[in-house]
Amino acid sequence: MINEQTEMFKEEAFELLEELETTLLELEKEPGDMGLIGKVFRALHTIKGSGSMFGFNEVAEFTHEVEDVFDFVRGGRLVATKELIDLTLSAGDIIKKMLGDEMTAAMKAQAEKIVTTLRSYPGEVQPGEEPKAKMAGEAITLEPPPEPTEDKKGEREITYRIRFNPSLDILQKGTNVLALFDELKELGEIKIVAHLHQVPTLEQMVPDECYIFWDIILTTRVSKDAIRDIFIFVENDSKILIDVVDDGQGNEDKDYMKLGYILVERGDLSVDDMNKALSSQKRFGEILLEEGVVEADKIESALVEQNHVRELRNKRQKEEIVSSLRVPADKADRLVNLVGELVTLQARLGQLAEQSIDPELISVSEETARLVWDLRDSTMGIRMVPIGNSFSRFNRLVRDLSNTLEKEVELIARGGDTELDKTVIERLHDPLIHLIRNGIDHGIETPVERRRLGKSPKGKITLTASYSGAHVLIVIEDDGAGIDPVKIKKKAIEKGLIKPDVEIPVKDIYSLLFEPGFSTAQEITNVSGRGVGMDVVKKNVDLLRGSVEIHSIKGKGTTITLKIPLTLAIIDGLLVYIETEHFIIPLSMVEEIVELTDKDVSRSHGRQMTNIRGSIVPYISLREYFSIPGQPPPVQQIVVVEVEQRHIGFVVDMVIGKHQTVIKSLGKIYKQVAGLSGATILGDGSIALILDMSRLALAAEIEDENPVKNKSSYKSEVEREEH
Amino acid sequence: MVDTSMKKPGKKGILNLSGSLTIERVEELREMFQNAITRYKSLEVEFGEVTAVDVTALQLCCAAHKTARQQKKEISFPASLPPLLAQAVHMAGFLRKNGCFLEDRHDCFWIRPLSQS
Repeated sequence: MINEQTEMFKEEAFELLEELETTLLELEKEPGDMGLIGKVFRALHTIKGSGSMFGFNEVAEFTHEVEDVFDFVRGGRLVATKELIDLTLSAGDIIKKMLGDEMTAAMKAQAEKIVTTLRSYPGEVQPGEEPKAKMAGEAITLEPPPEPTEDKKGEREITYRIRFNPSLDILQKGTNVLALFDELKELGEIKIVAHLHQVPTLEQMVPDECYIFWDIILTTRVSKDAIRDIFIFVENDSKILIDVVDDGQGNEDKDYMKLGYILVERGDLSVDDMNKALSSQKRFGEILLEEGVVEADKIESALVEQNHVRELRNKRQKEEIVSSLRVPADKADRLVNLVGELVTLQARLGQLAEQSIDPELISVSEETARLVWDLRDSTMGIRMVPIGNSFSRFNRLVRDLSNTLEKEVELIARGGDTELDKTVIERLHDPLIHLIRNGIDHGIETPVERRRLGKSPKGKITLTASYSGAHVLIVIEDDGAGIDPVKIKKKAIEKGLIKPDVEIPVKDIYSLLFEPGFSTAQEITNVSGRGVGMDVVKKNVDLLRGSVEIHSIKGKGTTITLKIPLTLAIIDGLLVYIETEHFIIPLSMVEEIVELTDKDVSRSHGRQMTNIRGSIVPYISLREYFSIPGQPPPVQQIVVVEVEQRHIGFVVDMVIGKHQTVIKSLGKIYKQVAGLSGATILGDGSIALILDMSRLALAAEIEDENPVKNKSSYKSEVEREEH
Repeated sequence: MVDTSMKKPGKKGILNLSGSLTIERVEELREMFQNAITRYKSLEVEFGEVTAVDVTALQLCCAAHKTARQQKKEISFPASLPPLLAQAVHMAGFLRKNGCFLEDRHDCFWIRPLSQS
């Protein structure tokens, strides 16, 4: 139990450290953001507190030093400078090592240095003493403590409705309403609606009088009094009503109030008028607008409040759901495995029911199938996590790398809520690091060079995730120098990868980058250029049954697209057989199925090509490839699949149909067999092998280039590729 | 400095507003609007380089719109506003989905997407 709790603490601490890192990087951009400062402090405070509770005294003591300094930042005595953020980021790295029990002597020395530097920051200010920075250098500046606007008690976000109805002469008195709103904006998330219906015509108005009043919806951690403080200079001339519309407790209905009730509560609509409008069949807001019962801006304002609170509550509910699902990964894996077994068992039951004439058995089987599929989908959903967490980790990489290389780079992440299997996300981490590194090191130019080229000095790396059927597309795009195909071709010729006289399409030239040891970098840096990146990327993506594609325009930038399956555990497959052997082809890759007759074979004169609606598609006979004895039937079937945007056919005796495939890994003995990625158990208990289409396609390509080679020779080529 | 001008005498006029659109010039701006609305059947408001904006100017635009409608004149605002003006419109809470005129809820300067405000 103690171990379990310790593991739980570590897991939580690692998450908090991730959050700390992300928040620090945001704070670097917005050093005065009190919300972010509070978040940093809370993360440190929790790590310290929990660390101490679970016996991680070293972690607790070290974190305490950082927390102390951030307490000063929180109190407005210190500014979160770049130096302090650097120091805190390094401290975060040290805490990670402490938690992982990986502290080396050098790291211990670094930890001591960090503590010494942190202690040199200003301490408590004695009464009567002016606060001043003890630390050398101008990096730390002291400012007077801010107005006591932060609600010290409340960690909760409260949403207020503020009606600000100023006097007619407020503008004549020199009040800048926009500046006032700007000040409110600093407190949190804000929506402002001006009520304009009382503005008169030009002739009727005194132009420097104010005919407007405002509704403001503000979500903040500060108290009502702190909000009132902002209106302190105008409160005598204005009517200011501040009401709590959401107290942040999270025990309410997420739908919030109906529009009519909001208007009634605000005093903008009478109960009678509300009931009258409700009796109509039309939408409530439309009725009020048509009838002119309430001014349009009052409805607008009530709708803004409604949407704001609904969004807030939805977000809160999602956060609560996410935080309540803390289950160790191995338990979730076991559940997935069990569901996998159940899917297999259900397939057997289905097969038995099909052979039976008992209607009750058939009915039970169908009902079970439906439940099992639902269970499968729900269980797979447990493993799905948003890729955004992984994306945010790259901010640190980009920051550190751009500092090292003296480049200015901005990382833009989009589609962070796209969900992928947890294991897939973990396995994608290293390939993405390689690609981002390459983008910064080789792609993005120095600020001087970029200015010379008429580009903004700050380069951009954009990471985008989106769904595409049963796959997720992850696109890494930079606006750097792009890839020069001529340079790659030259290098490939030098390395003997291609012959000088062979014409190769540009797309294929880019594929050469995935060859082991290939690098066009002028010099090897400790960032990249050793040619050990792109082939690893390709290999890892292949292992995930995904694909990678490069598109580049010289001078404009490079786009790398990774196509990754949503999950690794259960796939939809196409069940086929050859003689008595069953195989599974991943259904998401299948384009179409066509017949191959003896006549077609003899017409092709030994070339393994077929003509499908005018397109020549190469194919390989799986019977020959896997050396399955026996004679093929007179009419075979070609399953045409798309691999890396090419169509390739695989000849089988017969296609049986769609099959829910629970992937089982192959034993060590099969590791060297090219073209197989796993196995699955069929309904009758027999085994079907899952085909690795990418590897088989490679075999087809080699066969296509060397048609005279015999079948076993291309098999060995593929195997050689594997090593 | 007069940095607000009127062009194209005749049926359709263009009122070009630029410089500081704040309380100090609001009386002058009102006169410009009044003259232009009286003079032309159809008035197009254009913005040059706007250096400052406050609530009085935004409120004046609403008043001009109401005046034009009352006189059965046409008045139009550009689809895209200068950044400073767009920012003020957003900050002052003027953006909306329905306008004030009961007979035509879509006739409002401030019905525009947040990004193009």
